[in-house]
Amino acid sequence: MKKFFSNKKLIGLLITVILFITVLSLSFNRMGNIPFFQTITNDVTGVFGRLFEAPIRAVDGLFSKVNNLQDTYIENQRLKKEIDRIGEVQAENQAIRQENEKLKEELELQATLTEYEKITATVIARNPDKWLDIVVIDRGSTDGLKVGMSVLGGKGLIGRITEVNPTSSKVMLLTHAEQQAVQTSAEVTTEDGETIYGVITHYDPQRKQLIMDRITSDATIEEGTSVVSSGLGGVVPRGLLIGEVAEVSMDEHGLSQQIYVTPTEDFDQIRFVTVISRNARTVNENEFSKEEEPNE
Amino acid sequence: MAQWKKVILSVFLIALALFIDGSVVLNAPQLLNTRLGQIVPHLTTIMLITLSYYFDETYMQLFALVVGFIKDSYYVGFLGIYMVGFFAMIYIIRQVQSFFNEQFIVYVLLGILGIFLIENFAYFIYNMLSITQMDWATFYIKRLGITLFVNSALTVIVTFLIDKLFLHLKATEFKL
Repeated sequence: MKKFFSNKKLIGLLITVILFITVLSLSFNRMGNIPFFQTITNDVTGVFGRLFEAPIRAVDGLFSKVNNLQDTYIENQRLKKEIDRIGEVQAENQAIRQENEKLKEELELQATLTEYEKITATVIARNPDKWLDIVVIDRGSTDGLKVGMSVLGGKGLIGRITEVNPTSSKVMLLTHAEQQAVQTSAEVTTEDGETIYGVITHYDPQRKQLIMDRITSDATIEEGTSVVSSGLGGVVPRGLLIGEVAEVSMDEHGLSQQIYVTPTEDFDQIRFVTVISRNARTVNENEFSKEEEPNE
Repeated sequence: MAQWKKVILSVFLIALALFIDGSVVLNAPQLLNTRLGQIVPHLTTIMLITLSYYFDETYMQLFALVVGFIKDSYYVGFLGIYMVGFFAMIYIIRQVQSFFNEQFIVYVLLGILGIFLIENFAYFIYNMLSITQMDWATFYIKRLGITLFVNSALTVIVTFLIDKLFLHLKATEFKL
Protein backbone atom coordinates (compact mmCIF):
# COMPACT_ATOMS: atom_id res chain seq x y z
CA MET A 1 0.00 0.00 0.00
CA LYS A 2 2.85 2.32 0.95
CA LYS A 3 4.64 1.51 -2.30
CA PHE A 4 1.46 2.03 -4.29
CA PHE A 5 1.04 5.63 -3.11
CA SER A 6 4.71 6.42 -3.50
CA ASN A 7 4.23 6.16 -7.24
CA LYS A 8 3.91 9.82 -8.22
CA LYS A 9 2.80 9.11 -11.75
CA LEU A 10 -0.08 6.92 -10.63
CA ILE A 11 -1.25 9.49 -8.11
CA GLY A 12 -0.99 12.17 -10.80
CA LEU A 13 -3.08 10.05 -13.15
CA LEU A 14 -5.74 9.42 -10.53
CA ILE A 15 -5.97 13.11 -9.63
CA THR A 16 -6.18 14.03 -13.33
CA VAL A 17 -9.00 11.52 -13.94
CA ILE A 18 -10.94 12.74 -10.88
CA LEU A 19 -10.48 16.39 -11.88
CA PHE A 20 -11.46 15.62 -15.46
CA ILE A 21 -14.69 13.88 -14.47
CA THR A 22 -15.55 16.67 -12.01
CA VAL A 23 -14.90 19.48 -14.50
CA LEU A 24 -16.73 17.65 -17.28
CA SER A 25 -19.83 16.84 -15.24
CA LEU A 26 -20.05 20.29 -13.60
CA SER A 27 -19.53 22.06 -16.90
CA PHE A 28 -21.91 19.79 -18.85
CA ASN A 29 -24.69 20.24 -16.29
CA ARG A 30 -24.23 24.01 -16.27
CA MET A 31 -24.16 24.26 -20.07
CA GLY A 32 -25.58 27.68 -21.00
CA ASN A 33 -24.95 29.06 -17.53
CA ILE A 34 -21.20 29.49 -17.69
CA PRO A 35 -18.87 31.06 -15.07
CA PHE A 36 -17.37 34.54 -15.45
CA PHE A 37 -13.86 33.45 -16.51
CA GLN A 38 -15.33 31.35 -19.33
CA THR A 39 -17.48 34.28 -20.49
CA ILE A 40 -14.39 36.49 -20.67
CA THR A 41 -12.45 33.78 -22.56
CA ASN A 42 -15.26 33.38 -25.09
CA ASP A 43 -15.61 37.10 -25.71
CA VAL A 44 -11.88 37.75 -26.04
CA THR A 45 -11.52 34.75 -28.39
CA GLY A 46 -14.58 36.02 -30.27
CA VAL A 47 -12.90 39.40 -30.89
CA PHE A 48 -9.86 37.69 -32.45
CA GLY A 49 -12.16 35.30 -34.31
CA ARG A 50 -13.97 38.24 -35.89
CA LEU A 51 -10.66 39.84 -36.90
CA PHE A 52 -9.56 36.55 -38.46
CA GLU A 53 -12.86 36.06 -40.29
CA ALA A 54 -13.03 39.62 -41.69
CA PRO A 55 -10.60 39.15 -44.65
CA ILE A 56 -12.02 35.69 -45.43
CA ARG A 57 -15.53 37.15 -45.51
CA ALA A 58 -14.34 39.99 -47.75
CA VAL A 59 -12.80 37.56 -50.28
CA ASP A 60 -15.85 35.30 -50.10
CA GLY A 61 -18.08 38.34 -50.65
CA LEU A 62 -16.11 39.27 -53.74
CA PHE A 63 -16.60 35.79 -55.26
CA SER A 64 -20.29 35.88 -54.36
CA LYS A 65 -20.65 39.23 -56.10
CA VAL A 66 -19.08 37.84 -59.29
CA ASN A 67 -21.38 34.79 -59.13
CA ASN A 68 -24.39 37.01 -58.55
CA LEU A 69 -23.44 39.17 -61.51
CA GLN A 70 -23.57 36.12 -63.78
CA ASP A 71 -27.15 35.40 -62.70
CA THR A 72 -28.33 39.01 -62.84
CA TYR A 73 -30.30 38.87 -66.11
CA ILE A 74 -32.37 35.78 -65.21
CA GLU A 75 -32.94 37.08 -61.71
CA ASN A 76 -34.03 40.46 -63.07
CA GLN A 77 -36.68 38.86 -65.29
CA ARG A 78 -38.03 36.83 -62.37
CA LEU A 79 -38.09 39.84 -60.04
CA LYS A 80 -39.99 41.96 -62.58
CA LYS A 81 -42.76 39.39 -62.61
CA GLU A 82 -42.79 39.26 -58.81
CA ILE A 83 -42.97 43.07 -58.54
CA ASP A 84 -46.20 43.03 -60.53
CA ARG A 85 -47.73 40.80 -57.87
CA ILE A 86 -46.22 42.54 -54.86
CA GLY A 87 -48.59 45.55 -54.80
CA GLU A 88 -51.59 43.27 -54.67
CA VAL A 89 -50.11 41.18 -51.84
CA GLN A 90 -49.11 44.30 -49.88
CA ALA A 91 -52.62 45.74 -50.03
CA GLU A 92 -54.06 42.42 -48.89
CA ASN A 93 -51.51 42.18 -46.06
CA GLN A 94 -52.30 45.71 -44.90
CA ALA A 95 -56.01 44.95 -44.72
CA ILE A 96 -55.41 41.69 -42.84
CA ARG A 97 -52.99 43.39 -40.41
CA GLN A 98 -55.50 46.13 -39.59
CA GLU A 99 -58.25 43.59 -39.12
CA ASN A 100 -55.96 41.53 -36.89
CA GLU A 101 -55.09 44.57 -34.72
CA LYS A 102 -58.78 45.42 -34.26
CA LEU A 103 -59.64 41.88 -33.29
CA LYS A 104 -56.77 41.82 -30.79
CA GLU A 105 -57.95 45.08 -29.25
CA GLU A 106 -61.44 43.68 -28.91
CA LEU A 107 -60.08 40.52 -27.27
CA GLU A 108 -57.66 42.61 -25.16
CA LEU A 109 -54.76 40.39 -26.24
CA GLN A 110 -51.31 41.60 -25.18
CA ALA A 111 -49.21 39.32 -27.39
CA THR A 112 -49.88 36.19 -29.37
CA LEU A 113 -47.72 33.17 -30.09
CA THR A 114 -46.97 34.49 -33.58
CA GLU A 115 -45.46 37.81 -32.44
CA TYR A 116 -41.73 38.23 -32.12
CA GLU A 117 -38.83 40.63 -32.53
CA LYS A 118 -35.82 40.01 -34.77
CA ILE A 119 -32.11 40.53 -34.12
CA THR A 120 -29.76 39.83 -37.02
CA ALA A 121 -26.31 38.33 -36.45
CA THR A 122 -23.28 37.02 -38.33
CA VAL A 123 -21.77 33.58 -37.78
CA ILE A 124 -18.12 33.99 -36.75
CA ALA A 125 -17.10 30.39 -36.04
CA ARG A 126 -18.26 26.79 -36.13
CA ASN A 127 -17.25 23.90 -33.90
CA PRO A 128 -14.62 22.05 -35.96
CA ASP A 129 -15.04 18.61 -34.36
CA LYS A 130 -18.64 18.37 -35.67
CA TRP A 131 -19.78 16.10 -32.81
CA LEU A 132 -21.79 19.02 -31.47
CA ASP A 133 -23.11 21.15 -34.31
CA ILE A 134 -22.63 24.57 -32.75
CA VAL A 135 -22.07 27.94 -34.40
CA VAL A 136 -20.83 31.10 -32.68
CA ILE A 137 -22.59 34.37 -33.56
CA ASP A 138 -21.47 37.97 -33.02
CA ARG A 139 -24.38 39.06 -30.79
CA GLY A 140 -24.75 38.56 -27.07
CA SER A 141 -26.53 39.62 -23.92
CA THR A 142 -25.78 43.31 -24.62
CA ASP A 143 -27.95 42.97 -27.74
CA GLY A 144 -30.77 41.39 -25.73
CA LEU A 145 -30.08 37.74 -26.51
CA LYS A 146 -31.12 35.08 -24.01
CA VAL A 147 -30.66 31.32 -23.75
CA GLY A 148 -33.47 29.45 -25.50
CA MET A 149 -34.24 32.04 -28.19
CA SER A 150 -34.99 30.62 -31.64
CA VAL A 151 -32.62 31.22 -34.52
CA LEU A 152 -33.57 31.46 -38.20
CA GLY A 153 -31.34 31.06 -41.22
CA GLY A 154 -32.32 32.75 -44.49
CA LYS A 155 -35.49 30.69 -44.89
CA GLY A 156 -36.44 28.85 -41.74
CA LEU A 157 -35.70 27.68 -38.22
CA ILE A 158 -32.16 26.36 -37.72
CA GLY A 159 -31.69 26.06 -33.97
CA ARG A 160 -31.68 27.68 -30.59
CA ILE A 161 -29.36 29.81 -28.45
CA THR A 162 -27.65 27.60 -25.87
CA GLU A 163 -25.09 30.00 -24.39
CA VAL A 164 -24.94 33.77 -24.14
CA ASN A 165 -21.85 35.91 -23.48
CA PRO A 166 -21.86 39.73 -23.49
CA THR A 167 -20.80 40.04 -27.16
CA SER A 168 -21.13 36.53 -28.58
CA SER A 169 -23.47 33.54 -28.31
CA LYS A 170 -23.61 29.89 -29.23
CA VAL A 171 -26.36 28.40 -31.36
CA MET A 172 -27.03 24.66 -31.28
CA LEU A 173 -28.40 23.59 -34.65
CA LEU A 174 -31.46 21.40 -35.25
CA THR A 175 -29.08 18.72 -36.55
CA HIS A 176 -28.76 17.92 -32.84
CA ALA A 177 -32.51 17.53 -32.43
CA GLU A 178 -32.01 14.58 -30.06
CA GLN A 179 -30.62 17.11 -27.58
CA GLN A 180 -33.44 18.43 -25.42
CA ALA A 181 -32.11 21.99 -25.81
CA VAL A 182 -33.20 22.14 -29.46
CA GLN A 183 -36.29 19.93 -29.56
CA THR A 184 -39.09 21.94 -31.14
CA SER A 185 -42.85 21.48 -31.09
CA ALA A 186 -44.12 21.58 -34.65
CA GLU A 187 -47.39 21.41 -36.56
CA VAL A 188 -48.60 20.39 -40.00
CA THR A 189 -51.91 21.47 -41.46
CA THR A 190 -53.52 18.88 -43.74
CA GLU A 191 -55.55 19.64 -46.86
CA ASP A 192 -58.71 19.05 -44.79
CA GLY A 193 -57.66 21.86 -42.48
CA GLU A 194 -56.80 19.55 -39.59
CA THR A 195 -53.74 20.64 -37.60
CA ILE A 196 -51.43 17.83 -36.55
CA TYR A 197 -49.03 18.43 -33.69
CA GLY A 198 -45.72 16.73 -33.01
CA VAL A 199 -42.15 17.32 -31.88
CA ILE A 200 -38.94 17.51 -33.93
CA THR A 201 -36.86 15.01 -31.99
CA HIS A 202 -34.17 13.64 -34.32
CA TYR A 203 -32.00 14.39 -37.31
CA ASP A 204 -31.06 11.69 -39.79
CA PRO A 205 -27.58 12.63 -41.12
CA GLN A 206 -27.73 10.04 -43.94
CA ARG A 207 -31.00 11.40 -45.32
CA LYS A 208 -30.24 14.95 -44.16
CA GLN A 209 -33.78 15.17 -42.81
CA LEU A 210 -35.38 16.01 -39.50
CA ILE A 211 -37.74 13.53 -37.86
CA MET A 212 -41.03 14.71 -36.34
CA ASP A 213 -42.68 12.24 -34.00
CA ARG A 214 -45.01 12.05 -30.97
CA ILE A 215 -47.82 12.54 -33.46
CA THR A 216 -51.17 11.72 -31.95
CA SER A 217 -53.28 11.93 -35.11
CA ASP A 218 -53.56 9.23 -37.79
CA ALA A 219 -54.75 11.69 -40.45
CA THR A 220 -53.29 11.46 -43.95
CA ILE A 221 -50.42 13.89 -44.44
CA GLU A 222 -49.43 14.82 -47.97
CA GLU A 223 -45.78 15.05 -49.01
CA GLY A 224 -44.66 18.61 -49.63
CA THR A 225 -46.84 20.09 -46.88
CA SER A 226 -45.09 22.80 -44.84
CA VAL A 227 -43.98 22.02 -41.29
CA VAL A 228 -43.95 25.04 -38.97
CA SER A 229 -43.32 25.61 -35.28
CA SER A 230 -46.48 25.34 -33.20
CA GLY A 231 -45.45 27.72 -30.41
CA LEU A 232 -46.67 25.19 -27.83
CA GLY A 233 -43.24 24.45 -26.37
CA GLY A 234 -43.32 27.83 -24.63
CA VAL A 235 -40.13 29.26 -26.17
CA VAL A 236 -40.36 29.15 -29.97
CA PRO A 237 -42.95 31.48 -31.55
CA ARG A 238 -45.67 29.96 -33.72
CA GLY A 239 -45.40 29.87 -37.50
CA LEU A 240 -41.64 29.65 -38.08
CA LEU A 241 -41.00 27.51 -41.14
CA ILE A 242 -38.99 24.35 -40.37
CA GLY A 243 -39.27 22.44 -43.64
CA GLU A 244 -41.62 20.34 -45.69
CA VAL A 245 -42.91 16.80 -45.38
CA ALA A 246 -40.69 14.36 -47.31
CA GLU A 247 -42.12 11.03 -46.14
CA VAL A 248 -44.65 9.75 -43.65
CA SER A 249 -44.05 6.38 -42.03
CA MET A 250 -44.79 4.47 -38.83
CA ASP A 251 -42.31 4.77 -35.98
CA GLU A 252 -40.05 1.86 -34.94
CA HIS A 253 -42.71 0.50 -32.55
CA GLY A 254 -45.42 0.74 -35.21
CA LEU A 255 -47.67 2.70 -32.83
CA SER A 256 -47.75 6.20 -34.29
CA GLN A 257 -46.77 8.09 -37.39
CA GLN A 258 -43.47 9.83 -37.85
CA ILE A 259 -42.69 12.42 -40.47
CA TYR A 260 -39.40 12.93 -42.28
CA VAL A 261 -39.00 16.66 -42.80
CA THR A 262 -36.67 18.18 -45.40
CA PRO A 263 -35.31 21.33 -43.73
CA THR A 264 -35.64 24.61 -45.62
CA GLU A 265 -32.07 25.45 -44.65
CA ASP A 266 -28.83 23.88 -45.78
CA PHE A 267 -27.15 23.44 -42.40
CA ASP A 268 -23.70 23.51 -44.04
CA GLN A 269 -24.18 27.02 -45.43
CA ILE A 270 -25.08 29.18 -42.48
CA ARG A 271 -23.41 32.61 -42.56
CA PHE A 272 -26.07 35.05 -41.35
CA VAL A 273 -28.83 34.34 -38.87
CA THR A 274 -31.84 36.06 -37.31
CA VAL A 275 -32.50 35.59 -33.62
CA ILE A 276 -36.15 35.57 -32.64
CA SER A 277 -37.37 36.99 -29.36
CA ARG A 278 -40.90 35.82 -28.60
CA ASN A 279 -43.23 38.54 -27.30
CA ALA A 280 -45.78 36.24 -25.67
CA ARG A 281 -45.01 35.62 -22.02
CA THR A 282 -44.05 32.07 -21.09
CA VAL A 283 -45.82 30.68 -18.04
CA ASN A 284 -43.48 28.53 -16.01
CA GLU A 285 -44.53 25.51 -13.97
CA ASN A 286 -44.66 27.34 -10.62
CA GLU A 287 -46.84 30.14 -11.95
CA PHE A 288 -49.10 27.59 -13.63
CA SER A 289 -49.61 25.59 -10.44
CA LYS A 290 -50.38 28.81 -8.52
CA GLU A 291 -53.03 29.74 -11.05
CA GLU A 292 -54.53 26.27 -10.81
CA GLU A 293 -54.85 26.38 -7.00
CA PRO A 294 -58.45 27.04 -5.85
CA ASN A 295 -59.08 30.26 -3.91
CA GLU A 296 -59.64 29.65 -0.24
CA MET B 1 16.68 32.55 -29.81
CA ALA B 2 15.27 34.34 -26.77
CA GLN B 3 12.78 32.15 -24.94
CA TRP B 4 10.04 34.80 -24.78
CA LYS B 5 10.19 35.26 -28.54
CA LYS B 6 9.68 31.53 -28.99
CA VAL B 7 6.73 31.66 -26.60
CA ILE B 8 5.09 34.54 -28.50
CA LEU B 9 5.64 32.71 -31.77
CA SER B 10 4.08 29.52 -30.38
CA VAL B 11 1.04 31.44 -29.10
CA PHE B 12 0.60 33.13 -32.48
CA LEU B 13 0.88 29.84 -34.40
CA ILE B 14 -1.58 28.04 -32.12
CA ALA B 15 -4.10 30.91 -32.27
CA LEU B 16 -3.83 30.86 -36.06
CA ALA B 17 -4.40 27.09 -36.15
CA LEU B 18 -7.37 27.34 -33.78
CA PHE B 19 -9.12 29.93 -35.94
CA ILE B 20 -8.27 28.15 -39.21
CA ASP B 21 -9.89 24.94 -37.87
CA GLY B 22 -13.13 26.81 -37.10
CA SER B 23 -13.00 28.84 -40.28
CA VAL B 24 -12.55 25.88 -42.65
CA VAL B 25 -15.66 24.19 -41.22
CA LEU B 26 -17.62 27.43 -41.57
CA ASN B 27 -16.43 28.58 -45.00
CA ALA B 28 -15.61 25.40 -46.89
CA PRO B 29 -17.92 22.64 -45.63
CA GLN B 30 -18.05 21.08 -49.12
CA LEU B 31 -14.34 20.22 -48.80
CA LEU B 32 -14.91 18.34 -45.56
CA ASN B 33 -18.11 16.41 -46.33
CA THR B 34 -16.72 13.93 -48.83
CA ARG B 35 -18.16 10.76 -50.33
CA LEU B 36 -15.71 8.77 -48.22
CA GLY B 37 -16.80 10.42 -44.98
CA GLN B 38 -16.45 13.41 -42.72
CA ILE B 39 -13.05 15.08 -42.52
CA VAL B 40 -12.27 16.86 -39.27
CA PRO B 41 -9.57 19.55 -39.42
CA HIS B 42 -6.92 18.98 -36.73
CA LEU B 43 -4.47 21.81 -37.40
CA THR B 44 -4.48 22.80 -33.70
CA THR B 45 -3.58 19.24 -32.67
CA ILE B 46 -0.83 19.01 -35.30
CA MET B 47 0.58 22.40 -34.32
CA LEU B 48 0.61 21.47 -30.62
CA ILE B 49 2.45 18.20 -31.31
CA THR B 50 4.94 19.83 -33.67
CA LEU B 51 5.69 22.68 -31.26
CA SER B 52 6.16 20.20 -28.40
CA TYR B 53 9.45 19.07 -30.02
CA TYR B 54 10.91 22.57 -29.60
CA PHE B 55 9.75 23.38 -26.06
CA ASP B 56 10.12 22.10 -22.53
CA GLU B 57 7.67 19.28 -21.65
CA THR B 58 6.11 21.03 -18.62
CA TYR B 59 5.58 24.26 -20.56
CA MET B 60 3.95 22.33 -23.44
CA GLN B 61 1.63 20.42 -21.11
CA LEU B 62 0.44 23.65 -19.49
CA PHE B 63 0.17 25.26 -22.91
CA ALA B 64 -1.90 22.30 -24.15
CA LEU B 65 -4.18 22.64 -21.12
CA VAL B 66 -4.81 26.33 -21.88
CA VAL B 67 -5.36 25.71 -25.61
CA GLY B 68 -7.75 22.87 -24.73
CA PHE B 69 -9.62 25.16 -22.35
CA ILE B 70 -10.05 27.81 -25.08
CA LYS B 71 -11.16 25.22 -27.63
CA ASP B 72 -13.67 23.71 -25.18
CA SER B 73 -14.99 27.07 -24.06
CA TYR B 74 -15.18 28.80 -27.45
CA TYR B 75 -16.29 25.98 -29.74
CA VAL B 76 -17.83 23.20 -27.63
CA GLY B 77 -19.56 25.03 -24.77
CA PHE B 78 -18.52 22.80 -21.89
CA LEU B 79 -15.07 22.12 -20.44
CA GLY B 80 -13.01 18.97 -20.22
CA ILE B 81 -12.70 17.13 -23.52
CA TYR B 82 -9.89 19.01 -25.24
CA MET B 83 -8.39 20.36 -21.99
CA VAL B 84 -7.58 16.87 -20.77
CA GLY B 85 -7.29 15.41 -24.28
CA PHE B 86 -4.51 17.79 -25.37
CA PHE B 87 -2.77 17.57 -21.99
CA ALA B 88 -2.70 13.76 -22.05
CA MET B 89 -1.79 13.67 -25.73
CA ILE B 90 1.31 15.83 -25.22
CA TYR B 91 2.35 13.69 -22.25
CA ILE B 92 2.00 10.44 -24.23
CA ILE B 93 3.71 11.85 -27.34
CA ARG B 94 6.71 13.03 -25.30
CA GLN B 95 6.98 9.67 -23.53
CA VAL B 96 6.86 7.75 -26.80
CA GLN B 97 9.27 10.20 -28.46
CA SER B 98 11.97 9.37 -25.91
CA PHE B 99 12.22 5.84 -27.40
CA PHE B 100 13.04 7.10 -30.90
CA ASN B 101 15.66 9.17 -32.66
CA GLU B 102 14.96 12.78 -33.61
CA GLN B 103 13.99 12.15 -37.21
CA PHE B 104 11.49 13.83 -39.48
CA ILE B 105 9.60 10.58 -40.15
CA VAL B 106 9.33 9.91 -36.39
CA TYR B 107 7.85 13.38 -35.84
CA VAL B 108 5.29 12.81 -38.60
CA LEU B 109 4.30 9.39 -37.23
CA LEU B 110 3.95 10.82 -33.72
CA GLY B 111 1.72 13.57 -35.16
CA ILE B 112 -0.55 10.94 -36.71
CA LEU B 113 -0.59 9.04 -33.40
CA GLY B 114 -1.65 12.26 -31.62
CA ILE B 115 -4.58 12.82 -34.01
CA PHE B 116 -5.62 9.17 -33.58
CA LEU B 117 -5.56 9.54 -29.78
CA ILE B 118 -7.46 12.83 -29.64
CA GLU B 119 -10.16 11.70 -32.12
CA ASN B 120 -10.74 8.45 -30.20
CA PHE B 121 -10.79 10.23 -26.86
CA ALA B 122 -13.28 12.87 -28.08
CA TYR B 123 -15.51 10.18 -29.62
CA PHE B 124 -15.41 8.11 -26.41
CA ILE B 125 -16.46 11.10 -24.26
CA TYR B 126 -19.18 12.32 -26.67
CA ASN B 127 -20.50 8.76 -26.86
CA MET B 128 -20.47 8.48 -23.07
CA LEU B 129 -22.43 11.74 -22.78
CA SER B 130 -24.93 10.41 -25.39
CA ILE B 131 -24.18 13.37 -27.67
CA THR B 132 -23.52 10.96 -30.51
CA GLN B 133 -25.11 7.58 -31.14
CA MET B 134 -22.59 6.64 -33.83
CA ASP B 135 -21.17 3.14 -33.32
CA TRP B 136 -17.42 2.42 -33.27
CA ALA B 137 -17.41 0.75 -36.69
CA THR B 138 -19.12 3.72 -38.39
CA PHE B 139 -16.80 6.09 -36.54
CA TYR B 140 -13.71 4.28 -37.83
CA ILE B 141 -14.99 3.89 -41.38
CA LYS B 142 -16.87 7.12 -41.95
CA ARG B 143 -14.81 9.54 -39.92
CA LEU B 144 -11.48 8.44 -38.50
CA GLY B 145 -10.07 6.87 -41.67
CA ILE B 146 -10.45 9.85 -43.95
CA THR B 147 -9.64 12.30 -41.12
CA LEU B 148 -6.34 10.53 -40.41
CA PHE B 149 -5.49 10.36 -44.10
CA VAL B 150 -6.01 14.08 -44.79
CA ASN B 151 -4.46 15.20 -41.51
CA SER B 152 -1.42 12.97 -42.12
CA ALA B 153 -0.68 14.96 -45.27
CA LEU B 154 -1.18 18.15 -43.27
CA THR B 155 1.18 16.82 -40.56
CA VAL B 156 3.96 16.31 -43.12
CA ILE B 157 3.57 19.88 -44.40
CA VAL B 158 3.28 21.51 -40.95
CA THR B 159 6.18 19.51 -39.45
CA PHE B 160 8.38 20.43 -42.42
CA LEU B 161 7.46 24.14 -42.34
CA ILE B 162 7.79 24.49 -38.56
CA ASP B 163 11.16 22.73 -38.66
CA LYS B 164 12.38 25.10 -41.39
CA LEU B 165 11.01 28.11 -39.52
CA PHE B 166 12.72 27.24 -36.24
CA LEU B 167 15.99 26.41 -38.03
CA HIS B 168 15.85 29.74 -39.82
CA LEU B 169 15.06 31.66 -36.64
CA LYS B 170 17.85 29.88 -34.80
CA ALA B 171 20.31 30.71 -37.56
CA THR B 172 19.36 34.38 -37.67
CA GLU B 173 18.87 34.57 -33.88
CA PHE B 174 15.47 36.11 -34.57
CA LYS B 175 17.02 39.23 -36.11
CA LEU B 176 13.96 39.99 -38.23
